[in-house]
Amino acid sequence: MDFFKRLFLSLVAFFICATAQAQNMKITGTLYDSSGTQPLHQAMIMAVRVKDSVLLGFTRSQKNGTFILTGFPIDTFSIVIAHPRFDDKFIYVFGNKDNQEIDIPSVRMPEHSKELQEVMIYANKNPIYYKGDTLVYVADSFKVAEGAVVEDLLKKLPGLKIDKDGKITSQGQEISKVLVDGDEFFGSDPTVATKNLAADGIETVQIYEKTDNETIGGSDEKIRVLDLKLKEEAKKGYFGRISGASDMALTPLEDYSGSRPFYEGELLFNKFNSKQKISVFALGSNTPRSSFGRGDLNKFGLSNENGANRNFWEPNNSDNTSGIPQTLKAGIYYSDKFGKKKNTEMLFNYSFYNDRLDARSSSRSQYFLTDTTYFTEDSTRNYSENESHKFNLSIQSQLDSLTLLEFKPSISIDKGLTNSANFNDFTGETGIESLSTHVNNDNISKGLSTNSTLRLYRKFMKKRRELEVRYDLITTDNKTDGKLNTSSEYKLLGITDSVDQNKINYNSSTSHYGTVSYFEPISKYWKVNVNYLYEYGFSNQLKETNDKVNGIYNGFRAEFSNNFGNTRVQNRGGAEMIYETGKHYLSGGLYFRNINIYNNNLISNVVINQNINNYLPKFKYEYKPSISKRFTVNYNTSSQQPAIADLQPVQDNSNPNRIQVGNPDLKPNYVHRVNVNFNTWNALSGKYIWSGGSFNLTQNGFATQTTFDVFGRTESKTINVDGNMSANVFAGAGYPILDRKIEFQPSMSGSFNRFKSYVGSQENVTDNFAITPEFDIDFEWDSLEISFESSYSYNNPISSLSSVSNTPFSITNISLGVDWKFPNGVGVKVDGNYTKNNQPGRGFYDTEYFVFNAEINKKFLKTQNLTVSLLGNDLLNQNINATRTVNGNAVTDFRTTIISRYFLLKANYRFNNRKMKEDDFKGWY
Amino acid sequence: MTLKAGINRFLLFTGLLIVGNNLFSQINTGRIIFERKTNLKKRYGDNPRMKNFITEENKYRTENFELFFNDTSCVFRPIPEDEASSQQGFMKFLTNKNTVYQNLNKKEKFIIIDLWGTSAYIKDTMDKRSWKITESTRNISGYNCRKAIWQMNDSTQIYAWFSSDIVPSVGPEGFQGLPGAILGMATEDGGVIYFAKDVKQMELPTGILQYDAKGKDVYTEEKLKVMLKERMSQWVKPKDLEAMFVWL
Repeated sequence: MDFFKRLFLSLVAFFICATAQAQNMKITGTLYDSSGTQPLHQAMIMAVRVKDSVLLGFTRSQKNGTFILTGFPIDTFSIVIAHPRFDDKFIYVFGNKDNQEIDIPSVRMPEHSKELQEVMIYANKNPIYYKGDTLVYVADSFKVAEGAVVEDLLKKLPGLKIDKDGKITSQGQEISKVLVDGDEFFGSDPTVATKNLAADGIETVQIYEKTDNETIGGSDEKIRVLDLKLKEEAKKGYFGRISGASDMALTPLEDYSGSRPFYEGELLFNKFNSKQKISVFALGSNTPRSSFGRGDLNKFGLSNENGANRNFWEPNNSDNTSGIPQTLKAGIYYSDKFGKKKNTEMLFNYSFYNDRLDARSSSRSQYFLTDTTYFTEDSTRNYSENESHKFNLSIQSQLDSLTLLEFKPSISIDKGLTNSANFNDFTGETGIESLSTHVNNDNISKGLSTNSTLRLYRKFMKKRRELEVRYDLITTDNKTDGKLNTSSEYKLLGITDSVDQNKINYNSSTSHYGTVSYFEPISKYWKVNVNYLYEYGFSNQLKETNDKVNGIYNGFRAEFSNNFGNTRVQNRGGAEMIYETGKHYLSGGLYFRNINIYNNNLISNVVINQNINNYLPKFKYEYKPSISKRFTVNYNTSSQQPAIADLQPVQDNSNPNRIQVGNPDLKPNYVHRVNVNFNTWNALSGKYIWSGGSFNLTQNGFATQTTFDVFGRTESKTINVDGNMSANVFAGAGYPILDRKIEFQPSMSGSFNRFKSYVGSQENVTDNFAITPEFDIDFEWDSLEISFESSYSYNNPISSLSSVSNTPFSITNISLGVDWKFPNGVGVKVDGNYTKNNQPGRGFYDTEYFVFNAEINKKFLKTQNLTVSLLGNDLLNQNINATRTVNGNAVTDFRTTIISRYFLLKANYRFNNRKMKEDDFKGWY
Repeated sequence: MTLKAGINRFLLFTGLLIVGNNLFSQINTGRIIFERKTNLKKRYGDNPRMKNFITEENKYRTENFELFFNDTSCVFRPIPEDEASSQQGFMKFLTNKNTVYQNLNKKEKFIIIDLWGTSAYIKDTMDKRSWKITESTRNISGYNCRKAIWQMNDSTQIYAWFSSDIVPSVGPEGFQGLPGAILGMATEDGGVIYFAKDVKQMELPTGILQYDAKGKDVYTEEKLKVMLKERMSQWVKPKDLEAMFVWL
C-alpha cells in the first residue's frame, strides 16, 4: 500500500515538474536602435502579466542585441522594452501551448517622442500593431498554405473580411484600394494584387486612410487603403510561381458539344530591387476560378450591355461569374526611381485581357399593371469576347521638399464581340401565349479611351497651408457595328414579322476638368478650404440604322437613326471649414454649382438648353477617442448627369421587345447622403464591433417610364422622379474565445428601399424591406481550420400599383469550410455551401442547392515548394446561379447555367532566388 | 569670432554633452545616496508606551545611507551622522541601521543588523518578492522611474520607484528584484520613505563590496528571527520585529 502511495506521489510530482518545465514561456529576440542597424546593448526587457500587472521576469539585452526572457509559466503578458535613448516599446503576448516560444528576430526601438505610439500584439504568433492610425499586420506570423496568394493571407487577418467578389472590409469599413508599397499595382483592380502576389513576399499589411487623389474636384474625402509592404528580400531578387491544372478532358460538360478540357494556368514572376521593379504575370483558364478581375465595365460605351438599372429583365448580365468563361490575362509592370535623391518615380504598366464568356440563362418575369398581369419567359444565350490593351504611365517628381508634380496618362484600347440569341414568350393573365419572338444581336465594337491627370501639389513653410492645382482630360471614342435579326410570331393573330438591320453606333466624348484647391490654416485647429472646379465637356452619339433591302443594308430608318450632341459647362466653387484635433474632426462646407447644358439634336437642329443652379452642402464629423475606436457622421450632396444614351431622342430597338427611347429633357439628379458609422476594436481581446447606417434621398432621380403594348412588350425611357430613397442599418461583432482559436461573428443588417417608376402615366412606388441576420464562426487550430457561415435574408417588396407582386421571399445560406493539414505534407480541404431560395410567388421557382467542393494535396521536394493537388468542384453537381429581383412593377427570377461539377489535377511550383522553402523566413522589421 | 566666444561656445557644447549624457545613458557602477525619513508616529503610533515620547516635533527621523553597486554586487550602508542629528537621544534606537551586502549572481545577502546598538550577522539567500508594475512614473534625481508595488502583508503595501537606466537590480536595504535600481521606496502610509538624493556614476573604492564574516556568529534570517522572538518578546512586539525583518 505504502509503495503505491509513494509511486503515485512521485508520478504526480513528475508530471507537475514535466508540465511546469514544458509550459514555461521563452521569448527571444534581438533589439536594434531606431535605424534598425545598430544592436542595442543593455536595454531592459520585462514581462508584466496583463491580468494583475505582476512582474513575471526581466532581462537585459546582450552586446549583440539579443535577449532571452524566460522562467515563468504560460500567461498573457505585455513586454516592455526600455532604453534611455529611445521611447518604450510595448509588445503584447498571448501565451498558450502553441505559442510559448516566441522569437522576435528584430525589434526596432522607437525614437524619442518622434514616432507615433506603437503597440504590438502577439496572439498565436500573430503580431498586430498600431503605428499611429495605421493598423499593421506582420504577414509572416499568419500561417497560410504553401503557395498562398495575398488574398489567402488577408482572410487570416483578424478584423479583415473578404467577400466572394473580392471586396475587402476592415473592421466593417470598406477598403477602397489595394496598394503595393504605396503604389497601385496593375491598375486599380484590387484583385490583381490580392490574387496574384504570393503571400510570402509580403512583409506587412497596413491599413490606413488616405486622401483620395483620384477624385476630380479636389475633395478632402478620405478613403481606406490596404497597403501591402513587400519584404526587403522580396524587393531584391526574384520570386515566382507557376501552376497548371487540367482535367485531362475527363469531365464531360453537360449540354456542351464535344469534350472541353478544363484548365487553369498561372505564371507569376517578380524581380525587384530597391529602385526597380519588374513583374510579369499571366493567367489563363476556362474554369469559374478564372475571374480574377472584376468585369471591365463601360468598356465600349455599350450601355445596352451594361445592365445599369435599365435592363431589369436581364439582371446580372454584367457578371461574368455566370456562364462558362475563358480568360487570358497578362501584364507587365515596371517602375523605377530617378534623380540624385531618387525623387522622381516612373511607373509603367501594360496589361492584356482577353475574356470570353458563354452564358445561357433563363428568366421568368411577371409584370404587374393595375388592370392586368403579364408573364414573360426569356431564354438567352450570350457569347461575348472582349479584348483590351491597357497602358498606364505615372511620373511623379518631388521638385523640392514642398512641391510635387504628377503626370498620369493612361490609354485603353478595346475590342469586343457579342453574339446573343434570345427566345421570348409572352403570356397574358389568362395563361395563353400571345407572342413568341426570337432576337439575335451580333455586335463588333472598337474603342479607345484615355484618362490623363496633371497635378501640382504644394505645401508651404507655413504648416497646413496647401495648394493643389490639377487638370484632367478624359476622352472616349467607340464604334459599334451591329446586326439585328428578329422574328416574331403573333400567335393570336397568326402573323409573323421579322427585322434584319445593320446598326452603326459612333460614340465619343471629351471632358476637361480644371481644379484648384487651397487650404489655409486660420488657427491651431481650424483651417479653411477653398475649392473651384471648372468643367467643359462634350459628347456625341451618332446612330445609323439600315434595313436590309435586296441583300444590301441601305434602307435608312430615320426613327432609329440620330446624331446628337451634348455640351456642358460647369462652374463649381465653394468653401469648407475644417476643425481638426487629435480626436475630433469636424468639417462643414457649401458649394455652389452652375451647370449649363446644351442638348443638340444635330438632325433636327433642336437645341435644349438647361441652366441649372445647385447648392451642394456637406458636413462631416468624426470622433476617434482612441486609435481603434471611431464614430463618423457624414452628410453630402452630389449631382450626377445623365448618360448620353438616356438623352438621345431616338429609339433603340436592339431588343425589339424592349425598345428604349432617349429623353433630351432629362435633368441631372440631386442626391442627399447621410452615413453614420461606429467601429471599435479591442486589440488585446480581439473583440470588435462595426455598425452603421445610411440614408439616401434622390431628387430628379433617374427612373424608367415603361409602356406596355397588348402583348406585354415594352417601350421605356428614362425620366426624372422625386422621392427615391434608400436606408439601411447594419451592425456586427467579432468575439474570439479560447486564445482566439474560435471567433464568433454575429451580424445583422436591415434595409428599406423606395424607388419609383412609371407604367404608362401611372406612378408605381415599390418599397422593399429586407432584414438579414448572419452568424459566422471561425475555428483555427494548428493544422485544422473550420469556418462556418450562415445567413438568412427576408425580403418584403410592396408595390403600389399591384398588390400581386407583394410576396415576401427569403434566402438562406449556410456554408462550412474545413482545411486540414497532416504532418506528412498531405492536406485536405472541403467546403460546402447550401442555398435555399424560398420564393412562394405564383409559379415562381423555389430553388435549393448544395455545392460541395473538395481538394486533397501533397507537398513535394525538400523545400516543399511543389504541390500536387486533386480538386473536385461541385461534387454533387448542383451549382446554379439563381436570383430574384424586384424592380418597379416587375419581379424577375433569373438563373444561369454555370460550370458545375469538374475535377482538376493541379501542380503548383514556387521558386525564388533564395532557393529555400518559402516559409523559412520568419523575420520581420 | 573671438577666442572668448569660441570658448563659451565650447563650454556650452560640452555642457550640453554632459547633460545629454546624463539623460540618455545607463549606469552600471556607482553610488546612490538615500535619505530615509521615518515617521515615528506612524511606525509606533499604536504603541501606548511610545505615545508619550513621540511628539509632533520629533516624529520625523531622518537618516542617510549610501548604496554602492556594480553589475554583480552592492552594499547598502548607513552614512555616519554628524553631531546635530545624533543628539536625538534614545530616539535613534527606534530605527535600525543595517548594512546589507548583496551578491546578485549568487543571489546571496550578508547583513549586519543593528540590534539596538549591537550587531548581529545574517547570511541568507536574497528574497524573491512578487512585484506589480504600474504605469505611473516619476523622476527621482534626474532618473525616470516606474512605480512598482509589493504586497508586504494583508495590510501593508510597499511602493518602489525603480529606474531601468541604472542597470543592476539593486535597492535600499535588502530590496532588489526589479529591472533596475530602486531610487525611491515607501510604505503605503508614508511611515518610512527612502529617497535617492544623489546618483553618481563612479568607480567603486576597492574592497567596499567585500565583507568579513570571519569569527562571527552568522545566522540565517529565520533563525535570528526565532531567536529574537524568544529573547526579546518582553521588549519588542512580534509585529515590530516582523517589520524590522521585512526590509531585509
